[in-house]
Order: sequence, then structure tokens, then C-alpha cells
Amino acid sequence: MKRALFVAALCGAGCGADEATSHPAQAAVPAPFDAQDVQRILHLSPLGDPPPDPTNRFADDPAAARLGQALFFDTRLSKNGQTACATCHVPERSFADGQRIAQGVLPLDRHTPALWNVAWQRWMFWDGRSDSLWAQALVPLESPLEHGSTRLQIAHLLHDDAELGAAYEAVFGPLPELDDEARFPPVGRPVPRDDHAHELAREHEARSGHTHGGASAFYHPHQRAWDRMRGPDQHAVTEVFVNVGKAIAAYERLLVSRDAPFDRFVRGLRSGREEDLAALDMPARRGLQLFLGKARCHLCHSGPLFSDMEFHDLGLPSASGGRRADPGRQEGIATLRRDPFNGMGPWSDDPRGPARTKLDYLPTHAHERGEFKTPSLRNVAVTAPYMHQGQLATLVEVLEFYSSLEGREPGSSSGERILAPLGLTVQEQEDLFAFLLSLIDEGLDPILTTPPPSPALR
Amino acid sequence: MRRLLSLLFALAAAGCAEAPSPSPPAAGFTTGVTREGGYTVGWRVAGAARPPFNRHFELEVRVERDGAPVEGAQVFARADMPGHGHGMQTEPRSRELGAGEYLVAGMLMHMTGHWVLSIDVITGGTAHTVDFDLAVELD
Repeated sequence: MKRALFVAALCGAGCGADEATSHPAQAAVPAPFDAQDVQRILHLSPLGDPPPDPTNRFADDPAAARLGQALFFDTRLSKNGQTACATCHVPERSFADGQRIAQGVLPLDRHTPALWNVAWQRWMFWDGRSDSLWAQALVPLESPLEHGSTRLQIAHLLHDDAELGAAYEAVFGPLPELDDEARFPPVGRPVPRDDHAHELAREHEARSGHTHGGASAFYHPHQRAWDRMRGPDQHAVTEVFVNVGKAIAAYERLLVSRDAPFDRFVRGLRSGREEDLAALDMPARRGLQLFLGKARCHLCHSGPLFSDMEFHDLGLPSASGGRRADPGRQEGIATLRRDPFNGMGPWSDDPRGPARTKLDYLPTHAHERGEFKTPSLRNVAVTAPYMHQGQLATLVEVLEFYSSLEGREPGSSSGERILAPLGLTVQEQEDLFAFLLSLIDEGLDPILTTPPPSPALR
Repeated sequence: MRRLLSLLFALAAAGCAEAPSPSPPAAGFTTGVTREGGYTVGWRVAGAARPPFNRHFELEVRVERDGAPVEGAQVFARADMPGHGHGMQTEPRSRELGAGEYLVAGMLMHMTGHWVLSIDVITGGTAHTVDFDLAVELD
């Protein structure tokens, strides 16, 4: 009790001066925490409002978000007519898919991340190869493994569907006239050198014995169709494609989770309200203390997003079906630099703004291989499996991994010296589990979890 | 409390530099002397009292030798976490402002804890380095 009063006195004297971390009504630090714990806890909530995205001037446009929601659930944005964004980012599965390795029109080689709070992310994908939500949304649409579609196909869809077209034009202005098939073929896109399409062509050659004269000579039909178009027509189609990405991003920015029991507990720390403090029972509180203390989870899972938004190497071996010797961030940086849709590119609405700072100072030297983005822990307990290739099936396995580090790649992870077996007891693992459960908030407005009745706001 | 932490931080940062500055440091600058070459290097965070946590920032750097500003040098800054075995995930660049002042942009310290800020002053093809221990805290 003496200790609690002493801690309260310390906070009363000093902490109240700082608005960001103040808890003026606090009568005493609740057990089992001390003043330092409380200071750290206050930095983990609230999440606040999403940061603006100046590269997308439609990011917070409700009509764009409604159109984006319609597109998110629309399987016509795929080669086989069966794959939508929502096929892998399933609302009922916390905007993930519950699978170890994602499956689009073909199998992928990494795990589907959940979409909660993506508006706060600095980088997208496990390797950070996109620097904005809209640029990210474009990648799966044209990936031959994911949607397998093309920007021409998508532009035609908007042009031919009266409702989608009207919703588009209400936000972005007139669609180009795409009726002339000689000028605007039904499918086509630029096929970059590192596109999976080339790998698929090589595999096809190997199976069929028919060669195109080597993979480097393979002239993809999508590229051929694209090359036959005039520059202004290519530009008009790409503009529609980019706007589709910006609309989907506007919708995804609404997928917010920030009112978990943990957030109510932190409100209680600030207000002293017992009802709010009761949001965390003692096992969860002990787990939180471990999170900040012995387990040191907060070093990477920092801030209200519970992620430092940067990249680390845990030394996990590739999973079956996952990419072998996955280069992770090393390749992500190279891809990001080449991406015409990055924040400094011609399709960005603010190429000289903060996006430039992010891109300008990316390392030019070879990055460590095998580093992947720190995932957020909000809703982590309902987004199994875990890690970039879904290597760990359950949260219990994750806690056991950090406790023992068993299963790491021998000789791996020279870049994360701090990673050492935590030696957690069963009780400690249970407490950490209880804390992670307190980060669940799936209380999204149900209207955002299904295809909208109309792609346009009425 | 925040002022106390800032003071402790400043004391720690100053105390861990290679050697005391031969001349009184300018306001807000933490100074040290390069291991070779006798360059006095002072740095401060542009627009803030200390390195912010997990946000991009710029460093103002002053370089002197024998009390005179050093112009025409190349200045590089990097920061590492010795306990973690890694550093920043950015590659800062600097430009000369004149009168011995340089601006380093692209700093990002994405984790709390002990960092070592290393500033290289390159003159005549030779790098002269000074290290500063510092603690990155939650804002």
C-alpha cells in the first residue's frame, strides 16, 4: 500500500504535466503495476484517428469508400470471376482467411494478414513493398496468383456496369470511352520483369515441353495487348485502375479496431473509473506486465498499433508451401523503388509530401535477408495462424516459440541479437494469452462487413 | 517529470561522448570529439529536445576544429542498437548548411532503448568518428 501511494504521489507530481500521458483522476496505480508500467501502458492506447494519406486525395471520401467497399467484395475483379479481396480478407475471419498460406486464383507463398487498422501502417505487405494502402490494393488485382485480372479488364467492368460506372464517375469524374475494342482490348497490362507471370510461363514450358525461346523471350499476351495501345489510352486506363485502388483504400481505412477491453482499462487508468479498470482481470494484467517486462514484447510491438511498423528477423524456417529462403524486406525495398504507384510516383496525389521522406531514405545497401514487418497485435487472438508464412498455428504455439525459440533456422537471425528464449512458465504463458485476448475488438459496424446494397452513396 | 527525464537524458548523452568539448557547446547541442583528428562535433535534433520515438527527424550537426568551424567536410550519421545487433532501417543523408553546420535528414529510431549515434566527419579522404550513447524513450 505504501508503494502504491508513493507511486501515486510520483505521478501526481510529474505525470500530470504531460497531456499525452496524463491520468489526473488516478487515485492509485492498480495492482500489479508500478509507475513505470503505467507510463508505458498509457502509450499503448488510445489509437486515435487514422493518419491522413495525402497520396490519396480520396482517402477519406465517403463516396469513394462506398465504391471501394463494393469493389472489395466484387469477384468480377478477377480472372476466374470467383476471387475478390474478401475471398482472402474474410470479414467473418477478422479480415484474414484462417489459412497458413494464402490462396488466390493460384496458391501464394505467404500468409494473409488481417486488415485491421491498416490505415495506420507505414508499409504494406509482409515485406513492405507498397508504401500506401491504395498502391497495395492494386498489386493483388494484377497478380497472376491472386486476382489474375488486368487493368483493362477492370476498366471495362466499371465502364460496362451502369451502377459501378455511375458510382465511379460521381467520385472521380468521367470514365474514358472504352467501346472501341481495337483501342481498348478486353484484357491487358504491363507485365514487369519480376512478375509471377514469367515464372508461370517457365513452369508451363517445363510441363509442356514447348518453349518460347527462353523465359526472357516470353512475350506475355497481356503485355502484347498493352503495347498495342496508344500512350494516352494506356494513361486513361491506368488512371481508372489507380482510382479503383484509391477507392478500395478509402474503404479499408474504415476497418478500425480500437475499443478493446484493454483500451477501456487504459481509459480507467486515466479516469480512475473502477468500471473501466475492471475491463482487465488479474491474469490479463499480469500478462500485460510481462508484455512490458520480462517478455519484452513491447520493444517491437510498440505504440497503440502494437507494432513498430518496421522489419525484423525471427529466424523461422520456411513453411511447407511457403517461399524458400524468403528474402523479405530486402526484396521489398527493391520492389518498392521500382513501383510506379509508390508515393513519389506520377499517380501519387502528393509526391513531394511525407511519402517522399519515407522513400528517400530507404537503405541502398543490401538489407538483411529474411526480415518481415512486425504485425499489429490488435485482434491477434482471432487471426490465427501466425507469422509471415503461417508457420505457427495457434497463439499458444507463438508463446511457446518465444519462450524456447525452438524451431528457429540454425544460424539464423544474426540481426536480432536481443531475441533470447524467454523461459516463460506455463502460468506466464497463460497470463500473456489472457492479455492478448484483451486486445480483441471486432465491433465494426456490420454495414462495413458485407457488400453494400449499392456502390454509390444515396 | 518530462523535464527531469530530458535532463537525465542530456547528461547521459553528454557523459558518454568520447571527450569533453574544448569549447562551450552551443545551446541544445551535445558535443564530443572524434577519436582521431580532434574534430569537435555537436548535434541536436531539429525542432525537438531529443530523438523522437519511431518518427523521422533531422539532426543539426556542427563541426569545429581548434575552435573554428569546419567547412567542406562530408558528414554521415548512423545509429545502431548494440544490444540488438541492428541499427536504423533508414539511410540518412546530409547536406552542408555553411559555417560548419550540416543537416542530416532521414533519421528514424524505431525502437526504444540504448542506441549509439555515430557521426563521421570526412575530410581529406579520412573519416573521423565520434560516438554518442543515447536512450530513446517513448514520447
